[in-house]
Amino acid sequence: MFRTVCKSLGKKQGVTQLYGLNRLCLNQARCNTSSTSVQTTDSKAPSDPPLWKEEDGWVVLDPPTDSQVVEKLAKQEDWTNVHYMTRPDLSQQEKQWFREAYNSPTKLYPPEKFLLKRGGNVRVEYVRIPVGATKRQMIEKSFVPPEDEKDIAPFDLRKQWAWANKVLFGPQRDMKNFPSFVNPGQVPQPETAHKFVPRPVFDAMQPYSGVTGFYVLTVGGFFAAIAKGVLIVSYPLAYFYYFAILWGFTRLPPVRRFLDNRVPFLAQKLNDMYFHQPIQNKKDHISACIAAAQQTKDMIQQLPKLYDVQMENIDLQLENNYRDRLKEVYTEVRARLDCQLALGATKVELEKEHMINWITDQVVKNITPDLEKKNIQSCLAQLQSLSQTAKI
Amino acid sequence: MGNIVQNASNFGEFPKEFNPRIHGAYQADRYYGTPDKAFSELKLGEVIPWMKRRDASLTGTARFFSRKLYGHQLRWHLCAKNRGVGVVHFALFFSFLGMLRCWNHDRHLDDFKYH
Repeated sequence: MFRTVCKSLGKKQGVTQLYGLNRLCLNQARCNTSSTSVQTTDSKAPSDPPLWKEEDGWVVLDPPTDSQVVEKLAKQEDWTNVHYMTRPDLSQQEKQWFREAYNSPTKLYPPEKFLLKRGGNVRVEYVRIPVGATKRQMIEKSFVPPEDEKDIAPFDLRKQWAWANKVLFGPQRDMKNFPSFVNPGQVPQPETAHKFVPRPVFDAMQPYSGVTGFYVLTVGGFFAAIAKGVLIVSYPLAYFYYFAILWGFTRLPPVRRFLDNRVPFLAQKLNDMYFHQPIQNKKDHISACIAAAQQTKDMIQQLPKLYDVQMENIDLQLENNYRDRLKEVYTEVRARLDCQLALGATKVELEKEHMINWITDQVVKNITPDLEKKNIQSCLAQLQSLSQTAKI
Repeated sequence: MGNIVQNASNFGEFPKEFNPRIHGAYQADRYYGTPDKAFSELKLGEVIPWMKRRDASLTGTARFFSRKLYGHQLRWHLCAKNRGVGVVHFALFFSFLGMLRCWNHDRHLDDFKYH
């Protein structure tokens, strides 16, 4: 590609380079020496003056002495051949600039800001934009709104409306030549003759060609075009006939009556289905959302009560648990105490029974026949005494 | 990269003559250039000077067609009771263009002799 570009521009691609001994020989040959074949050094022969002065590895040029040359070079604005010492007309600042530029490989004299550039001196403002931004993003980022638009917040609709009103209906507004925009949805269809021809066109022909002018022009023009060969009778022309026939069919009285009675209902149904019903659905949905939101708000307002109710519920449960445990404790303790009581009673009763039985058994064992006889005699004697005292 | 767009053109933006403070909201079916006589009120000899005064560049012609199309659409299609008249206009226009396109193709059907 470089080769083709150079060829198209008429440039040479490059010069073949020599290296090594051949290069040195060529350079020797290019040097103007008295003896071309061998280079000799003779102390008596005068050596050629050096081509340039060297100072510390740098080539140093003498400043030009001719003032006319200096002026010419200054006019050319080729400051590389001019030394600041030869320019007494420069001010101190300019001489300083010159010195800095002379000693620096990158600085320019005059300084860059005074140079005339290609394309005009345009002050470019740099805006930091990340890599990969689209052109639209770059334009939006670099866009600075005018002063009277700066105070408008991006999401404040009221401010935007007020600003729009100020701009669009301000003092400069020409309402006479540029009236407000009319919503085409509010404007009925323009009047037509036979539903396809605009009324102004139909009426404009009337003063020139009468009432039948339009029909004569269209039908006669149709046949004239066929006769001239402009319009040829072919397969696709039949499609126009079909539409004309259908249109005529719809204009017949019975068909027209049917359509005039049925079509409005169908149109109304379609409008309801695809326009009014979706709007109503959305309104209903919104109302339902508002009602749900209001209900949620009320519920939130009753939440403290709910909290108290829940706390009370918990308290009741706790009370229930407490009472259950209390009942358990009571039953257990009562059972133990009853057990102890029964044990004691049983023990006492057992001892009593045992003692009674023991005593009675001992007594019965110790009863002898003599004692029994004496006891019976004493009883009889007591009975006799009693019988004597008793009053019958 | 990162600079304001240089050699800026207004492609895709409002025409330079449009000023919302004077003209109000932008209406695509209106001409915002220098006020001139209406085309319907011109005499035959004034037509060509009138057209020369207008912008006949690519953008100018594109704006013209855009204005006319939008105006026709607003008037005949976006009206309150649309009975399909705009569609018929559209179909007739493109039928005419089709006829022009097939002109040479249909010349072999010519069978007249004297006219």
